[in-house]
Amino acid sequence: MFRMKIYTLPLLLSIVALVLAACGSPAATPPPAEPQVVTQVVRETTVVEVDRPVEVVVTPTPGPNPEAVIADVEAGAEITFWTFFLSPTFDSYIQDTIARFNEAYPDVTVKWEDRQGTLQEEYRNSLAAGNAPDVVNVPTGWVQEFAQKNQLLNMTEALPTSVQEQYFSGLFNQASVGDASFQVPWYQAVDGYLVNTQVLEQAGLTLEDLPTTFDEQKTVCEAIYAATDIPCGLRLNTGNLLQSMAYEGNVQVMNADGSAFTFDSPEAVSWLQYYIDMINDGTTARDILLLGDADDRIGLERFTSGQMPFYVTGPQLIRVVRESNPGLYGYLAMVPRAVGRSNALPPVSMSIVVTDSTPYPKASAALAAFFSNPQSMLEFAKIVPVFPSTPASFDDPFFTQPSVAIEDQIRPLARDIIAQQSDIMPEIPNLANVNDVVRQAVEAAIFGGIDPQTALTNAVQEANTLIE
Amino acid sequence: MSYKLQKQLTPYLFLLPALLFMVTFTLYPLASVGYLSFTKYDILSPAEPIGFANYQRLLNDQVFWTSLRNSFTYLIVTPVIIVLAILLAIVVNRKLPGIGIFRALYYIPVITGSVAIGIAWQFLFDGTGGPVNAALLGMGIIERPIVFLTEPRAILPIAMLMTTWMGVGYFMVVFLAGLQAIPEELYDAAKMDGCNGFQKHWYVSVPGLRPSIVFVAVISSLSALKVFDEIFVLTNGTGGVLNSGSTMVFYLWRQAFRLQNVGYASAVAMVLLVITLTFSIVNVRLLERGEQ
Repeated sequence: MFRMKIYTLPLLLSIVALVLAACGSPAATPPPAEPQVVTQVVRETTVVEVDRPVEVVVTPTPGPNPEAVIADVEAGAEITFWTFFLSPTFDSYIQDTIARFNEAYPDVTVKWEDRQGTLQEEYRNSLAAGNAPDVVNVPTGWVQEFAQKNQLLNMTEALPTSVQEQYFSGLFNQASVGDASFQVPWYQAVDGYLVNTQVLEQAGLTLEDLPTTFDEQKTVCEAIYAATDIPCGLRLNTGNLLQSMAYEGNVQVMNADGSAFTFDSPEAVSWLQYYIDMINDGTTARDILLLGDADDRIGLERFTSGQMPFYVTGPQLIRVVRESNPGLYGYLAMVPRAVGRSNALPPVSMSIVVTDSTPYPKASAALAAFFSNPQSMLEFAKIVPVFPSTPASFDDPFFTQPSVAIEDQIRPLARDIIAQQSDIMPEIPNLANVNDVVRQAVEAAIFGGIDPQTALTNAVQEANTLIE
Repeated sequence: MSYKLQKQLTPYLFLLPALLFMVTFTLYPLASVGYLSFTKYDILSPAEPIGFANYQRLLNDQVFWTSLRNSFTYLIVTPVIIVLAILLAIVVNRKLPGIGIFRALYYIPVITGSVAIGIAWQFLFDGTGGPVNAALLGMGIIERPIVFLTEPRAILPIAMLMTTWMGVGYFMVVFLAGLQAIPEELYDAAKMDGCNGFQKHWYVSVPGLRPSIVFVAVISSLSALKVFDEIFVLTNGTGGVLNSGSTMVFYLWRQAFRLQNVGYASAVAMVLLVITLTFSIVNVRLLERGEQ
């Protein structure tokens, strides 16, 4: 700055002189004078740069908040955020995260409400009524229904690439419609076998004997039942039976161009026969097999009562067992579940979606990204055994500490398991109705004595009429 | 405004609030459902008129016919509940010490939430440790526990039993009031004519309870046609294996709120409306004839 001032004045004077000289009229130019020799004293100056502290008075202004990843968020935005089954257990976490969000985006107000078993209906009805919340936490399995009906904000367009890349590849694009994602992945459950080691011991087995593949699972259940008379509690989610077919049975449920269903293949029949055999043999419980996606706890209650050797669930639900049957807690173990014939594991994911009609799309996308950013995810994982959808969170030493509690036994493996999870499902049109057709076929075969091939072929024909 | 006009308008002005209420909350929804039954509507997309397609679909929908059959089967509850409620009313219509406690006990299921009762009944019929299985095993009637709630033939009878148990206390109170309105002289006369205990009630109590019986028949049959809670709770919202417990209202709910086929569900609702309306008219005619 100092040096610049020294040179500026002579430079300006020179420029002015040149301009004046150039602008002068030739007619006014005096005749050339005779040269004269004169003596002048020239003073030479040098510039010396010196660093010295100077006290100045400035108005403090905050730097950019590293968690504020969305630009141009609507000032004065008031957004409503619905969560699913999180209150009152996680009130503090949600409120603290919203407070942090407000530090990053001070002009946005968030109104948080928790919803429970009726969330899906309430969200659907609020969309129809035009008063839907701006941001909603939904199970990932629900995303396609709303996205296919153009009710959700396209997150592939709404979020910068840098934000999209913070998630595990595969989780951001799960449940996509077309080539776009309409959700951000929030917390992940890593389902494993929650094992009652007492029952296992009665059967003369150890944790090492537990199945690692879908087909081994049947054999192990037969062995346990023969030794203890206690059936397994395998469960098919009646909310998405096609997913079970695809992952467990390696069934291609639709043809390549999505124009027809193909879930009556030999692979599908073999998958269905697997369960028919187990029900007929009594090696898995009849009343646990076909339950809806909100009925996970029915199976868990049976397990908690000590009448099941193992149950596929996430470590976050171990606290339910501990509270209901403390005596069983000491006999629990958590190990990875068997992998299906597809060699892939389904993501067990919660998502955050933004309503397409929100007047504050940027603020809403900012909230969705904020709750699912590495720091928020890490803090959530520290208070409940759920896992982040962001690989960066796993760099924290928390994930590499040796586990002590049963709930934490799967924690060191979680990063690798989530990285292996992949969405192999095609986009299913009219999913709810197609799934209902499949449910009836599966029930008819398992409980109604209908030949599985016939049941599935009839179901495929009916499902094909639902493709629009 | 002239006095004459005022006098003519006054009754209509008194009727207006109730009329507005009825139009808003009964007639408008009814007309809307009627309209929606001719559309394809999934709540999230605008309704699309499709003529009679929903009604044509009903004709070929096996689950609809199963639900219709189940709803009519459910009407068996009505005579059972009438007989049991009359018997109970006769039993508690005595001047005994502590009889008030018995009357209150029989009424407890009426004031208990149907969901709570449903969960209790799920436990009763549980396939692993339920008291019913324990009793049957203990008596040597069965060798292995029965998973009742996954047996297609068991769901509906269990739900009907539950409805009967829940409703009998309420109808008992209705019949008790009816019994207490019968003059004591009639019983005295019957006794003098040589009637025994059974004959006394058969020839005096039952004819005296006729208006109450018709009232209970109307109310309980309409309730039976509209049954939902019991099925929902006992089957965890699935309608039971092979739709064995699905009733008209349950099917309507499932189509509208699980499968988002609101137009189709509206068609089911219109059919249900016709059935319940027919029942109501027949029952009201019976009631009027009884009064005459």
